[in-house]
Amino acid sequence: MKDYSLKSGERYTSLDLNLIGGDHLWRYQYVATRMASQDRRLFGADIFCGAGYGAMLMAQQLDGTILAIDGSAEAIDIANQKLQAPNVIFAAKLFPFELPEATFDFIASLESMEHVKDFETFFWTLAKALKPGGRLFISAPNENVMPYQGYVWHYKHFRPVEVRALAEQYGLSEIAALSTTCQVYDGGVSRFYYPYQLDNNRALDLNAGDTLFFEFEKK
Amino acid sequence: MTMKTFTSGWAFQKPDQNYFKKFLHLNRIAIDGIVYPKKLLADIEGIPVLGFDDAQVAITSEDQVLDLSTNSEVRKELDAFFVAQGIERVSVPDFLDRLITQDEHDALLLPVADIKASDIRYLKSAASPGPFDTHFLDAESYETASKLDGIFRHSMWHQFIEFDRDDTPGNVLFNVLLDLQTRDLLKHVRVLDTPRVFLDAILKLKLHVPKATVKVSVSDAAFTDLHGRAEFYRRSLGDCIVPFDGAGAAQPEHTILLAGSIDPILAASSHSSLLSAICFMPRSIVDYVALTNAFGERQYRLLLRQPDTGAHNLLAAIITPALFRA
Repeated sequence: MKDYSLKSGERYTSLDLNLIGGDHLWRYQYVATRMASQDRRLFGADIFCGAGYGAMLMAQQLDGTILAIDGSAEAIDIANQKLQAPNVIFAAKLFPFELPEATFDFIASLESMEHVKDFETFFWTLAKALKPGGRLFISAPNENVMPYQGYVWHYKHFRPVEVRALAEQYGLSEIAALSTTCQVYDGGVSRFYYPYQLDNNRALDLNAGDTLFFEFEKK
Repeated sequence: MTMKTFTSGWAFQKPDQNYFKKFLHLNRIAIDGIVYPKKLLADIEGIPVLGFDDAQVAITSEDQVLDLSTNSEVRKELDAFFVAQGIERVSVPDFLDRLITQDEHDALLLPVADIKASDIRYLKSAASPGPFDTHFLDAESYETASKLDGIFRHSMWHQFIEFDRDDTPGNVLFNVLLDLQTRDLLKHVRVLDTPRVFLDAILKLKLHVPKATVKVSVSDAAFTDLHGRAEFYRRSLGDCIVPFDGAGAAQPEHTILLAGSIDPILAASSHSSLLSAICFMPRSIVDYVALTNAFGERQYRLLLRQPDTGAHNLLAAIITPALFRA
């Protein structure tokens, strides 16, 4: 099993948005902006929420309730201790877990799939839990830009075509395909992690950044 | 010839430069090159990396070079190179200070919303907070004010990282309320705006201190801000919600005003006796100066807490004699 602890080195342990990489903030802000246009109270999920800064960001901007799950009990303890948000329900649970069918208006699962050995069951779980018309926002390292080289925390990186195939298989249609960056590149390939960039709080073309990002809709 | 901007070394991989990076981005100030002893990469974030050979050609006496080196070994090499070239480097605080001093018509955009260069120039003309200023409630409040004053007065924005204490505005607010509750000073709070953060902290307080008897009034505007969640708060706080009297109505002396900025606190204090308040100071030390100027010689004590590195999250509790007369 991979190391899912809070301070494994893979996560942002901070709840301070000033200390979170711009690419991570952009993804959560994208979800909040997209879902804010829905004219109803929402039930959303943040699957692999870490210490909860993203769930909090979304909860502060959306009229609804968010179920935020992470594999680190320590991360969830911190979220419950430091973040006061009655509309966010934090829960500690390692995958596999079952989510209720056709329940969520949206699911944000950002930088998640690469941590799950059985990524197909994981994707199926998320897709099944969406209401018809519900949105899945999902991101993962792009194998084309950041080739998998035995990352200690990851099982696999993904090519866009693989994520699109999963979406098609489990009844999702594509709304948007973008990317973000948190690396310095050399010859178009990621060289080293570089989260606090001058200008990475924005979307790039799908294959321009190291992290692919899709918005899907449940058919 | 247009002046170009280069950096000697690179420190932007660290979060302590986040405010400066935001400043560069806001003001569209481009970095034309990063000087390193050797060209290990073609570029970082699209900015060319220049080895010494390239730098000798690229940098002229008309250009400016920002000192951004943090690695001591690399710094020695960079120091030797620039001394040999006769090129003076400028520190980031000095660079910012010069721009703020030279700014006209507040054209410069600073990385904290609603703080302008003219605010900083005014700050520099005012006295710094002193350890014996009588309005500070405790030593931490003075230390917070003093640190923030230094950061903004001298453009030492990188020092904001010292407020990274793994805390949150909501949790610090809760602790301030808990402290007042413990001292039996939390009798009636009046939520003027930005209700969520305050009501969430009060809900947590009621969970931790079930015997708390604090009464809560929420303005109509604040309830409106809660949209579909207003009923949740009405029900959850049901036994302690009391009607919100209009702005002109006299408030009981034990009332504590709660607000997301100092503006309604200053407005309330201008036409009535000074009420206690807990508020955020989104303009940080600039709001602190405005508040102390407005309150003048009136009697009050100020508690200041900076929960994290977000300048806009500075929290103030204003304690007045009225609170103790109740």
